[in-house]
Parts: sequence; C-alpha cells; structure tokens
Amino acid sequence: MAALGTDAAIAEGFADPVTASQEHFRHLLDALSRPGRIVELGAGLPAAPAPLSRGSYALLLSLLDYETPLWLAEAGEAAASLRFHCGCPVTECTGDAVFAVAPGGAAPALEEFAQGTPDYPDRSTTLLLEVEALGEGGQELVLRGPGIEESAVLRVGGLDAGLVGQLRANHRSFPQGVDIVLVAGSRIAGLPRTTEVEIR
Amino acid sequence: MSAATNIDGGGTLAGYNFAYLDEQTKRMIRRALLKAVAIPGYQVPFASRDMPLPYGWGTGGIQVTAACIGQEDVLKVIDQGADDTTNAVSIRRFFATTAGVATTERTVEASIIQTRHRIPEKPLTEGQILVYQVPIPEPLRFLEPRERETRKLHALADYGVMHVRLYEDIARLGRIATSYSYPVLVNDRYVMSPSPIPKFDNPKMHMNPALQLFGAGREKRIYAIPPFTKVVSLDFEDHPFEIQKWDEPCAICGATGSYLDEVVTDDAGNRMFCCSDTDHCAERVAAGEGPGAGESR
Repeated sequence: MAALGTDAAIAEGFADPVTASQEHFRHLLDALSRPGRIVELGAGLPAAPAPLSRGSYALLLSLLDYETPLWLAEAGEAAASLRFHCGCPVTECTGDAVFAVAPGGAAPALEEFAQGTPDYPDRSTTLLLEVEALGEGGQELVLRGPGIEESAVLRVGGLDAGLVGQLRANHRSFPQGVDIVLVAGSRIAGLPRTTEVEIR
Repeated sequence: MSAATNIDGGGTLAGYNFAYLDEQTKRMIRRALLKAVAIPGYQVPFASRDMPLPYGWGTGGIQVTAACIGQEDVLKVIDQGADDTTNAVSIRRFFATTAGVATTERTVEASIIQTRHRIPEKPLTEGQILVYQVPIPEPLRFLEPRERETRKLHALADYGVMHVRLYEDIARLGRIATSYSYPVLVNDRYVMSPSPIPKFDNPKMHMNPALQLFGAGREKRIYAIPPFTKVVSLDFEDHPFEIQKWDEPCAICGATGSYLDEVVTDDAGNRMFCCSDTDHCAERVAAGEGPGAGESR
C-alpha cells in the first residue's frame, strides 16, 4: 500500500462537476432502484487513478465529501486523488466507511462493513465491488425484490462465489445491511439489501 | 403533440448554482435518497436547508427535485392535481429560472413530477420520478409524539398502535374514517405515510413502474418507494380497504373513474364535481369527451 500521501500523483477530476455528478447520481439511482439492470455511465469519464475503474472513480467523485469516510481495499493513487477532489477522509477501518471499494474477487466479509443500527439502518456502508464483467461472465444471478417486477437475471464475471452466500445473509438482515454496486469499467448494476440473490 | 418546451420562459438566474442548491447540499441529499431507495418506506434523516419559501410550501419536495434534476429533464408540478395553482406555478418557475429546464403541464411529457397531495390519473411509466411534498412524514406521530419512541416502534416493526387507531374508527363510526394520509405498509416491513394524498390514490403506489421519492423539509426526512414495490393500505379482513366513489361524473369531462373535487359555484349553495387532475380533465375535453359524450373512463 502506498502512503496516503503527499507525493502521490493526483488524477484529474470532472471538467464540469455540476453536470457530471448529477448525471452519475441519476445513473446510480436508476441502478439501485432497478436491481439487475445494467446502467452505462457513458463516455467521457475521467481517467481513473490506480486501482479504481473509471466507473468507480466517477461515482466516488460524484458523491463523496467531508462527511463520507472512504475505505479502499488498496489505496494507490486513488486515495490522494479523492481526498484532493472531494475532501473525504480515508479510513482504514471498514466499519467506519460510508463508501468502500473492493475487488469483487477478494472483498472482505460484508459483515465487516457498517450495517446500520435497528433505529438507523441508513447508517451503513455503500460498497462498490469491482468486477470483470457485467452482462457476461461466469456467474448467473437471479434477483427478486423491490425494483424488479418478477425476477431479473444478471450475469457477472469475477465475483467471488463465497460472496453470493454473503449477499443472501445481507438480505436476510434487512432492514440493516450494506448496499452493493457492481462496477465493470463504465457499467454498473445495483444490489441493494432488499434484493434476494440466487445462483442459477 | 410537439416536444415539451419551457412553458415558463427560459434563462437561468445569474449568481446561483444550477437548481439553486450548492453542490455539497445536493450530495448530502443524493446520498440520503440512495439509502431511502435501499430501505423502502424508512425515513432517512437529512440536513434540510432553508429554502426561499416557507415550510409547508414544498421545501422538502423542492430539495429532492433540486438534487435529482438535470438539464435533460422535463418538470411538471401539481398542487392537489392542478398545474395552475399558485404553489405549482411558483415551484415550476423556480426551476425554470434556477435550472433552465423544460417544464410542462402534461403528465406524459414529464420526466420528474413534483406533487402536493395527488398522484396523476394517467398511469406513470418507467422513466418517470414522482416527488411528493410531505408535511408530516411520521405516520405514528399523532399517536406517539416522541421521536425516540416512534423510531423504536419502526425498528421493532411494532405497529399495533396504528391498527388500534383504525379499529377505533370502526368501533365509533362503523368504518375506517381516514380519507387522506391513509397509512400503508411498504415491502412488508415499514408503515409509511403516503403524504396527504386521498386514499383514492393509495392503490396507484402499489407496483408502480415509476420511482416515488418523498421529501419533508420541516421534519428533515426523505423516504422512497422503488419501482415495482409492494404497497398495501392497512385494513382488516372484515373491513377491507376501500377508495372513495362519487355518484356523479366530472361536470367538465364526464369522467367517472377519476378523483373529483367538490366546487361551490354560487351563494345559493349550488355545487359541481370536477376532476382534481387538470391535465387529465383537459386531455379528455380535447379528445371530445364531456358530460354528454358517453363515458368510457
């Protein structure tokens, strides 16, 4: 892990932050309100600092500020860039994170992240999982729950098989639990805690 | 019909950020909205800002709309179903001025519809967002004034007190007398206030393809119903939920399936009933429907 630091290179942010953050928020709102739908964030995303994908970097640039501690599985240049653009604290404690980013193949256990409390279930982590592919790939997930009329099928590449079992436990702990956004390049798909996940 | 244009004149106001709110405020509201969607019916606290109009005039709805709206959006605002009342016109103009977005009175053209106390008669579609203005977000507030207690009741899903309230109506009056703000159970978990919409509109919330967002500015709460989410109005097996019905059709367009307002027309106490949804009514009149034209819906 590079030092969270001083001499790390700073990646570029949005050219037009007002428009870009509004558009990316709406895409994310769409993805989380309609689990299973693959949403394209569009062309022209800024180049992402290592180890983030363009999609994750754009979502974080859109939503973070001084109120949102960020946890990164691997800090790299990303921590310095996001601290510079958003002013967000970077935390090493998963339980403190409002937003977190981890690779879909090697993420910490979901229960390590903030789950919210019975009184305030909203105080939980939103976890961006970087996967290899969306709409293709090895895992075929069948999703049910709010936002889905009957059921939806989502193909994911590069998601740890053990994580799918954790997603089911996460759903069972509703209304507490983490909310997940799968990110593959500039494509995203939402898996909020309301979604029931099965492997086909 | 031509594409929507800005019916309120154009041009953004110099010296203000896009859609009035500053970017940090928008981010804070956006994060609350994302959590609200992930926990349907749960009221997410947010740091509601002072707006350039008083509480009770839709400050919550305006903040939600301001956090969502983009240059491509087409905005419609209704107040009790009407596009042409003071509150609706002033909020529409507010966004026409501060965001320069296109505005419309037509439900089908709108991508965001901000509403006070109605759901449009025309079924909403997938791309649309309905933003409700909410005065009292807590459905249990008049039964339990302490926030700490109502929060605990929600945490435990302990809603017996609400059923007792509905039962007391039946014991006293023989029926559930609540006709607006009729409580609903969202996704089999949270009891939620649908805002003061008439109970006539409650069934439209169930499995609606549009995203429904709720903003309460004074009470500083945001909540949501994602598309295709189960929404059930509370009732009893022997006293099932019912919506209002009228003996006569709309006096202007002849509709029998829409929510009607009673309008007193003179000092002699004469009255008429007409659609509360002005766009729905005008569309039917334009299509040649009327009180004598034979009714379909």
